[in-house]
Amino acid sequence: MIVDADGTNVGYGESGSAPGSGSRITGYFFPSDHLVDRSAPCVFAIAPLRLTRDGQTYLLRPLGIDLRRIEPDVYQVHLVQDFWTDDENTDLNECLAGIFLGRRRGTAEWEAPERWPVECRSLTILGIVDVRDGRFAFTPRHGG
Amino acid sequence: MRSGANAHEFDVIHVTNELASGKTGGVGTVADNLASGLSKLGLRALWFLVSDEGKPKSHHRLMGDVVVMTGRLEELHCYSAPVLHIHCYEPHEALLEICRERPSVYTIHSLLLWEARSNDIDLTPSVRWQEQLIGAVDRVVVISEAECDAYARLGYLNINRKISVVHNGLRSSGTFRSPRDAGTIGFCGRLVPRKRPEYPQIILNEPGFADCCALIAGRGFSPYARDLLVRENLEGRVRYLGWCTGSRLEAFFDSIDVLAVPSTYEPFGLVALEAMARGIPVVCPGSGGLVEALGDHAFYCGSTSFEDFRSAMTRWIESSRRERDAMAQAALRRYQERFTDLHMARGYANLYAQIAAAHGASLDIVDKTAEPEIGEAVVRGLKTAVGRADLDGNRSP
Repeated sequence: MIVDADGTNVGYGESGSAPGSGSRITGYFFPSDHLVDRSAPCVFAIAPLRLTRDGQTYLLRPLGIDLRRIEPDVYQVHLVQDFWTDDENTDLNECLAGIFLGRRRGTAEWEAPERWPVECRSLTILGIVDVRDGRFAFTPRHGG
Repeated sequence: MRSGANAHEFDVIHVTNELASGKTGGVGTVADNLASGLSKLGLRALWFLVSDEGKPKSHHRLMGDVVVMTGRLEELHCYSAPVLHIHCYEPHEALLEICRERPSVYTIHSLLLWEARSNDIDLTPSVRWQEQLIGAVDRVVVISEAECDAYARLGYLNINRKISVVHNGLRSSGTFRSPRDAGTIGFCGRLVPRKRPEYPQIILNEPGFADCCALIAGRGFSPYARDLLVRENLEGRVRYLGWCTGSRLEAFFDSIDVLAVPSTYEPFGLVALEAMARGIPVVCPGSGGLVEALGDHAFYCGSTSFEDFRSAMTRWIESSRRERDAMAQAALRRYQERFTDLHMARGYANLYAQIAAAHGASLDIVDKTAEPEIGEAVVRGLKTAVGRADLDGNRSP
């Protein structure tokens, strides 16, 4: 699933099908904080992020993902380059970013955002979010 | 324009899966330019954006003087026009029945069977639907002579023999800038196998291209693209820009020195036309619709192989600024003389008129933009006539 700040970002593959459903923005998330917003415990809120790599800066607008809308499981949280949203920014050094929740497949393999139908580029993995048993827990990748 | 037309009567109704806003491919760009051209001809068009998710109640909105509606196909019966113009590529069973009942023309923006073969993917349901649609409409339009040949090779003449060629057109936009340097290689389009997006990246490691970089604009990053960047050590020299529209797309065109279009299948190559209008040299295979658009004004590859692409790119990078400028100026003239939005719109307007007449309707087309041209021609003719009269007068006893 890939979502962006307006909560309605769904991409289209070669055959025109949508890769996944969107989520609504309901709050902010600061990576150094604990992820679960006390006032809205079902919302995975992510603050604006900026990542610079090889001369390009990737910008993530604040967004929130309603975790009630996804299947209970463990997910990798990828910061991805967004290849679906129309971008009108004239600064070609800046690109849009989004969040991809990659589900675990089997014991070791995770869904990759580069694969169809999402086809976005993983920039970094922010951590793991566990959405099981009606509870939500986030573990930052570097303990941050 | 239809005189006395009410809000539900139009000269033509376009049925499409995408418009310029929120487009997923080239069809949205064509729609945008066709809307512009038809507007200049005074035709009142409804653009009907098919939405299966659909809103329970259809609604209108205006984009400039273009009427756009989003809705389910069932809502089409609320609107009348002498001709339906179909641009859809997503299967809609209901559309087949509608086209059998109403005068219609279908523009094949891409032959899906060729798409499937060139991308090595299975599009069987879509291909079958496209073939049914071809059989359901009064007239089929393809966007190049090359595409017309492909249509025939697929045996589609057995489904519908009434076929016309209307080239794509582009309204004047962007800034013409020439000559350009020889440093930044551009690629613009969906990142699918048939478009060979890897070619303008791999070339960076070839002799002579050490100082070059690549800008890639388009949708569809893949594991292959990810691995290619690592394997070829291209991180930092290749910048993926995502889905560029509007001013970002213009910034892309302004930043590149050459546009690489190494596609194995390109029905027309609208992006090449966009480059022509801006003074950007194009490197592409010398086949398909691209040749019809570019004429003699491109760096052509002998085939779709990487070796031939490299050869054409080498000719480009070794060309002088004067050569590149001469090519760009000639390409601009070709675009202006043959491939504007108005050229495209006139082609379609003639078809609409023919189809309408065949069904006992009429379509009045007022080409206001042609009036000055006709006026000048008349003036020239009059001057010639006067001159001849003078000569005749001199000869008369």
